Amino acid sequence: MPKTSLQHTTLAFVLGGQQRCIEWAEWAKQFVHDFAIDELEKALQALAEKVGREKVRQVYRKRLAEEVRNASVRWTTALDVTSSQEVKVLRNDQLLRLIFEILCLGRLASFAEKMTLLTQKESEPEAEVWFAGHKCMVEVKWYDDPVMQKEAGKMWSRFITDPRPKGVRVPSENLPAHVHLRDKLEGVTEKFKSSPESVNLVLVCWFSVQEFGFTFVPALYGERFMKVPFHPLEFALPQPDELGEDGLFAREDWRLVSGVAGLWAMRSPIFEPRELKWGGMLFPNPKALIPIPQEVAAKLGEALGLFTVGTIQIIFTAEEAEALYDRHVRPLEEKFWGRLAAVNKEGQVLVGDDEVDLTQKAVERFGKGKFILFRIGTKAVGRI
Amino acid sequence: MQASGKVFLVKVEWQVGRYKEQLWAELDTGFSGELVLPATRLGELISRLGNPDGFSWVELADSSQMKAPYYIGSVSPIGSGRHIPCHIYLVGHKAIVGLKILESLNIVPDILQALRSKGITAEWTVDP
Repeated sequence: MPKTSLQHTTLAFVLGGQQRCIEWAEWAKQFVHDFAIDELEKALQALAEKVGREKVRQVYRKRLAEEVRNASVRWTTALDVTSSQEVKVLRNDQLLRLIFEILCLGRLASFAEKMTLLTQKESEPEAEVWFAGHKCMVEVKWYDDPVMQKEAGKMWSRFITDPRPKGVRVPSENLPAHVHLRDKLEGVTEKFKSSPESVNLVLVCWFSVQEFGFTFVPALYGERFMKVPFHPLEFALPQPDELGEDGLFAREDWRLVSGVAGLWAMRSPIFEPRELKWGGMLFPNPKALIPIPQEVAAKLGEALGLFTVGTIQIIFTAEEAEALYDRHVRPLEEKFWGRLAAVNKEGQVLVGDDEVDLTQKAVERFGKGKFILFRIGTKAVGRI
Repeated sequence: MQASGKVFLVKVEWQVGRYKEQLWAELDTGFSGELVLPATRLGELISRLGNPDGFSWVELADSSQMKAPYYIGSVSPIGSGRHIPCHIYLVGHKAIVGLKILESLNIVPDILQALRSKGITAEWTVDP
């Protein structure tokens, strides 16, 4: 008996038998690595544990067995990692999208208190997921970056595509990236019309090299918030009345959406055993009818590695930190040059020589995260 | 000249509180500290460990300076039997271990000796 059928029992159940599963896996391997099929099995198992095998089959059988197999495929140029040669490979975008969606929902299933897979109607999101007593409706979207179309989904492709398209920096439609993203998200609010009382989340698969500061930030909050490079800890969430009219969150219908995330999954570490690492950034909607509760943000962090922008209270901006140095540490340069200084917002200073020791004292005295460490004289504690 | 793209990777175990994890990190002698984790893990780590313990003012490779969040923890190169108390920073896109690991394991004199044994003049000093 081939290994595939024994390893992928849930996939076999969904597809209607071991033989079908073997055929399907052989077919899918034209487009994805074996590990993607293994991960698919794990995700289906997690979903089955939460919503029942029958429900998983009901929702995904047709999509896996028919829709992706009948989807159009295209040839694309990619880099064969074993030979370092450019090769032409077949790509099935619909399969990549579906695998990502199932993996993402499978991950949520592992952390959810309860979960329901919805029936994939146009008017509904993908799933209802309960975190910390909060009902969350989740819609998973796939973003095809026009610039990096070859790059998008590379982790799922059989070959790694060349991440450096020669000289290509402008989207093919000549649209700025955030405008393109905004267009892609148009209409997503329809999915949440029947759930205005829920935490409504849009998770966008994001395998792009485009900066969040160029894309999600201006698309959601308005172009005037565009900032590159984007430092999530430096970004102060706009107040509802500060939102730019061109940003999606300023719109009335978008009040239904609690937040939008850019999300990716990478296979790491470099050596075996490898696992899927999730990460991304969740952008809360300041005008949302139902804001994202802190407990939900924490669960999303755990499940998908999402950092919710605005969850860390910024004690001081970079400019304020520099001003603190000038006012309270610079006068100490003559006496304490080369030593370390921990400074809080009130200008209280602790001086020491050992980073760990000084930090522990500063945490006790000023509170966790409520101070900044400088090296007296050079300002920077070290180089990264 | 085309870069080879080859890097040294070191397997380390890091720990903050009771949470510990093993990973491969790139050895970067341009990094003066012990361990950096990718900032992309911030969301996950905040949910596991709470807010970062503090912020340090650091210099990046392009000479710009910024404040970087960190946790207080320890790092142990697998096989060394040593646990080095340190700041674990969250910056950039990849895991890196820095010079302090080499220093604390007393490897720097070995590197110097290896260089000198090949007739190369080398010194270990502060960046002027």
